[in-house]
Amino acid sequence: MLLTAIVFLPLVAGLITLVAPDRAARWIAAVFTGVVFLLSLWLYFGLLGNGAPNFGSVTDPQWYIDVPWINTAIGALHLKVDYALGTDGLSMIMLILNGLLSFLAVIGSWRIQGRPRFYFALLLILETGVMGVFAAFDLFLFILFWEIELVPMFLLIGIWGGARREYAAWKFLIYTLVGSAFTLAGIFLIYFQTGGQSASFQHFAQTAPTLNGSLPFFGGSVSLALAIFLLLFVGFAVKIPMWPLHTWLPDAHTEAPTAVSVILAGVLLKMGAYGLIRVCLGFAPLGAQQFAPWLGVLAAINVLWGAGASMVQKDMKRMIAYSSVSHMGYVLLGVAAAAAIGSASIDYRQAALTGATLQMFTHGTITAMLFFSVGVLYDKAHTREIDIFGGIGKRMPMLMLLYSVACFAALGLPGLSGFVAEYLVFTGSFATLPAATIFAAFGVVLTAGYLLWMLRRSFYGPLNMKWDWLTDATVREAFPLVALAVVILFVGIYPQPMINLLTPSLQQLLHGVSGLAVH
Amino acid sequence: MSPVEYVPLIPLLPLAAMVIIFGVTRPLDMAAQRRLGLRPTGGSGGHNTEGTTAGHEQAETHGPGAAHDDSATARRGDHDEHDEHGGGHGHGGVTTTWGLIGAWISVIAMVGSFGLSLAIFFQFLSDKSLQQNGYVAHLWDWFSFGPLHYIIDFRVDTLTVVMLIVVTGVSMLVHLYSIGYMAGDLGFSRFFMELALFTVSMLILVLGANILVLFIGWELVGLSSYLLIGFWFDAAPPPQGSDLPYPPPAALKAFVTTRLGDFGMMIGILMLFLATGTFTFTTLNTASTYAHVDQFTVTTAMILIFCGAVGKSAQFPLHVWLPDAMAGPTPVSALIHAATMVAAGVYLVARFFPLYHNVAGPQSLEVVGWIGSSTALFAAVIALAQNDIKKVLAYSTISQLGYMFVGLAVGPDSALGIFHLFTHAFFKSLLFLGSGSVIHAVAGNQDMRKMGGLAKYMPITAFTFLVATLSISGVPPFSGFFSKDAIIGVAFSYGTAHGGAYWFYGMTLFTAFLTAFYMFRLFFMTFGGKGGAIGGLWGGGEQYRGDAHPHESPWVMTLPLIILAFPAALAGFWSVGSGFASFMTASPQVYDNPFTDSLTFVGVGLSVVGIGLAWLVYGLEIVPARVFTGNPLGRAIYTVILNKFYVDELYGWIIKYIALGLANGAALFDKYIIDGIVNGSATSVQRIGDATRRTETGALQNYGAAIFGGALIIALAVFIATGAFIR
Amino acid sequence: MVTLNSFLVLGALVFCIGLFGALSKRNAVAILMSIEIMLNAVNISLVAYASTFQSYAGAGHGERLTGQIFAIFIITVAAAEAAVALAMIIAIYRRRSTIDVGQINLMRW
Repeated sequence: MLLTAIVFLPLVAGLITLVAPDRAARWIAAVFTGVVFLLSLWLYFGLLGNGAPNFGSVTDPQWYIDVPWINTAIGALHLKVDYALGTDGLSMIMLILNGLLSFLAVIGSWRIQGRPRFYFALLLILETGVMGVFAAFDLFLFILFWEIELVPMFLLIGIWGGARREYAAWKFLIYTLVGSAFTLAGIFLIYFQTGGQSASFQHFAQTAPTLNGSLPFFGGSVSLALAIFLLLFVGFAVKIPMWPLHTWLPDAHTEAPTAVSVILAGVLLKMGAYGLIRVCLGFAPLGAQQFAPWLGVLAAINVLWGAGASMVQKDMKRMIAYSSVSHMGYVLLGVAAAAAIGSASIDYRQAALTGATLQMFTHGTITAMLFFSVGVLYDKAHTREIDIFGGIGKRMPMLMLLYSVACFAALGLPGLSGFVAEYLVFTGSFATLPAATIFAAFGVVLTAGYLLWMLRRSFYGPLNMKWDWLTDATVREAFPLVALAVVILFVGIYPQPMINLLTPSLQQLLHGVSGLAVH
Repeated sequence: MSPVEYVPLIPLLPLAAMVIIFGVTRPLDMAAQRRLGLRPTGGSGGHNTEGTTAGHEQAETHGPGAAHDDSATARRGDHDEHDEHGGGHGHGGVTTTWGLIGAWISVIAMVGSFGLSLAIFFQFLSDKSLQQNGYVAHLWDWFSFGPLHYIIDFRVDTLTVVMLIVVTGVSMLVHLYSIGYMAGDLGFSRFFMELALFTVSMLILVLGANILVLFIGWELVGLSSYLLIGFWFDAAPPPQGSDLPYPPPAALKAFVTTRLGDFGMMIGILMLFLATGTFTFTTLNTASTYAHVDQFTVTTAMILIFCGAVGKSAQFPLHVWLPDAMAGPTPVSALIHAATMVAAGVYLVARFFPLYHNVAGPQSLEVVGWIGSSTALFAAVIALAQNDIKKVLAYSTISQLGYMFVGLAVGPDSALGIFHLFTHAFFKSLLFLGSGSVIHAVAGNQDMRKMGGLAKYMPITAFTFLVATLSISGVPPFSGFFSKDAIIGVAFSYGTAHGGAYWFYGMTLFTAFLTAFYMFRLFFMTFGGKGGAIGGLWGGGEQYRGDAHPHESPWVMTLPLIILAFPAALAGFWSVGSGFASFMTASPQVYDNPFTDSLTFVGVGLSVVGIGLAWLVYGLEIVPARVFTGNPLGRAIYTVILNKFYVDELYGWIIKYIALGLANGAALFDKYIIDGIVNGSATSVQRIGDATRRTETGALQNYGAAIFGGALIIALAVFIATGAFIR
Repeated sequence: MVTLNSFLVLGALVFCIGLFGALSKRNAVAILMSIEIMLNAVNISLVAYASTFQSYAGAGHGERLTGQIFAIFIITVAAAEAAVALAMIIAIYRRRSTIDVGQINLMRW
């Protein structure tokens, strides 16, 4: 019931917002997203009751609800879709992240221009879609929510975006749709290969990992597990985004309004990573194992490519967008390391996977903070070109402080959450994929380079008198930044609760991986 | 309870001070500054309401063609945040009561830390078993996976105790000194906050019981140095052609350069971790841990870990950040150069010394020795030609750090290198604080060509500076002699033991000569000059070449100088007999008394020659400096040295054309190739559609023709395929 | 002897004449006439088949006349169709003053 409320309350609120007066829209949105955030926190705290809380795993979901929905048989073809929602640690941190960022996004778009009712309604519907993706425990329901999320996002970018918004919106839409077509094919393949009787996650978790065989393919044959993995992966890879499927991201981020960029980078990219871990790694571990070395290579390319491209961007938002590409590379690296063949013990794999999962969360908060910072600046200055500023730290010391916190978190400073995630990935992945890890670790140096160089060019130095009139962030503008800074600091100093939360579900996943050998 | 059990308090005290300043006194300080009109009051409206003085100055210097004839003016350009660099009186800032309260809180916290460190030190001195085993304070479990533990532990052993004394001692004096030096700067509170953070980070670094904690401290040191070097973040760039450092790029450079070293270090740590499954130093330093580990792995890992030390301790080729790092306020330079940042690299190698020495192949320590000795020589050569007082000191630091690494490379234990770190901390912080006092006295000028004869004006500074100069030059019985000549001496015996490979010995010996020369050149150019007392050593009014009104600094600044002069002069005696080394190794190990070894006096002799040469050129001015730069060859060499062998230019070129070139390549690949394919497929679909719709003529007859033509073709195809024609 | 084949060849020839006219003529009335020729070609084939197979032993009572009935149907429908088509042609002529199908290209891409 709680999950149903979390998933559908935003939709209800969105419909209310549509008919409410313009001035009330943002209040309705703020209240409802706030309530949803608190409810998502209750997912965690509600389980804390007794001494040893069970945070669940894919075979043992918490807050589980399962209502039969579609059940048709056409000859031998049986299609069964359940309305099944549940959580384990992995989805819980994503649900909480989405609750938090959606709430902050509403606060951050308080002064949105042009049809605010429609804007907030779409933002709320988007939240429903994303919550549904993370809460779904039925693969068809999962892909349904996955596609639902596209519509509001497409409109948000296309209507409230910047100059090239239509190009960006279409690019986002087409990329994602093409990718998810492959994923859908993969879903059907895995559904029918595992008996075609149930699409529930528990069913796949028990039956799919042992799938082993081959599929005829243009005269030859391919490993069934690899085929399932790759088909499923294409859609997730677009979303993550993985090189070379990443170029929609800079455009979408650059054109989207601040709050939408926050959601896009903070949560939507995580849908890809979540899918990769939950579906690809969880249900096709054998395929993941076969693909892992390549995934490691792609991860290293992602990290270095994103960092390199960030370095030469002139637009702050575009730079941060590319930094997302770079940082999501660490997630890929962690997953690759968890899946790769090798003598490394399960603990290293767990470290890598925990790091990857933490990176999903921390990147969500850090990149959101970066985007909010740029948004504050853009709202005042109406430009995001790095070199056009200069010395504005003098006029905006508060923003400079918070922006710097975000940058240092992104470049992996100890005490902030980025460090925990990245270094966990590295310690884990070095055991199985040393070369890829070395290349990816170099990204840490590059990240420091481009982020601090950006700060130096826009905030340091003598004040460019053109910007003498700039004022510091207001309390309303600083609120999301401070809130995120607190989260980043907390996770950086005390990551244990989050690791405890993740451990059962990741261990369940890793049993699937490590129990197998390649044939 | 014995003092050592309170060890977590050592970093906690400055941390508490930092938090108090951040949360209480700094906001109050800023509010007070706003009331005084020194800060914009914020709120709406585009314009700011600066204080009158600051506002005026800003208005003046912001004119389009504002003349920056003098570096000090340029530096002060448009600070309303921090006017008071170099103690130019009467400009803008006032230190508020709250600012002072915060500063004193941090000083008191540092006194507490230092006192506790001293207590622990004395406890160690008297307790042999503590010396041997150390003390571990378990703080908390960060997290763990099966056998992989990420634990936050502090461990105190003799090495840590020495570092604690150095760090807290120097830091305490720097805090005190800064109250005078930073007076009137609008960022006064912020400065103390960041200074405290710097100290905390360094304390975490030296207290860590495992690499994880060390690495946390290590990175935080990087952060604090970034913040402090860039303390005057809104400074105007120095005028064209000036070699004055500029804070914003200097901070960036320091962070990124050291991070480049950290990258290697991280890989090294991961290699060790993978091989042993532990982060803990005591386990890592035990040879039996590596029973099943390939020696090559350990050697590689140790060389990679040394990369981190190269970065942090500013060794060639990652030394470029340190000379620029003096863009920060001078007390920060003192802290960076003496106690905190650069000491970290030496500490790291010393911490892993058993591993370097006993487990890894000899190549690892040879790398350390080569980097150290060549850096020592290289930096000393550069220091010869610099005119900026802090730049000379910066290169001397790089050079002395090279000595420390040589000491670690050739020594039988880490005591040799660490003892030089110990003495160097005192005399180098004294030198930097003294130079700060000088800069303070001459209104922010750092160019020695505009100094001279300052000894009369500021006798305390001059005298303490002289002590430190003698010490760094290796004149007995000052502390530098004991630590440096011990390294040179052991380098000689190392050479003998390694089949006559006297490279380290020769290089360090020659560096000793250069060191004495450039340090006394500095002293004469700053405090002396032709015609001064004692043959130009103690200059007076006529020798002063600048246009400020030099004066002695206030007591908060001179007191630390006086205090530091004692260890700078006398700390060396600890090494005599079974002093320092036996404390460090907790065994009655005895080094040769440097006075008994005749070889020692080769080094001393060379130092004296260097001093004499400097005296002739800069004190008595009998030999004009033109002797060196007058001829074409000399001038060419001089130009290369003056430009620091063009290393910065080379790196700039690499970054600009290679790194950014590759980055641009990636961005352009995205834009034209990947997006080209994506957009291209979209446009090609459009094109194909455009082409094929031409067939829709709208004329039914054409459609009919197509239908029947198609039917005909199909019929023919069927006939041919089924062989109906043939039949 | 006049066999079924002869009728079929005749039908095919007439059909081709009609098809050629329908595809090549530009006058709408001529096209209409060509279509009528094609219909009649089909009628020839139908009637030929019907007369050939009417004595076929397996054929049922009503089925013997199917071909002829079809032909009559076609003639009827062709008449109706010609009426409608001529009406349309007149309507088009009134609007555009031409019945040249080359000019009537509203459906062009």
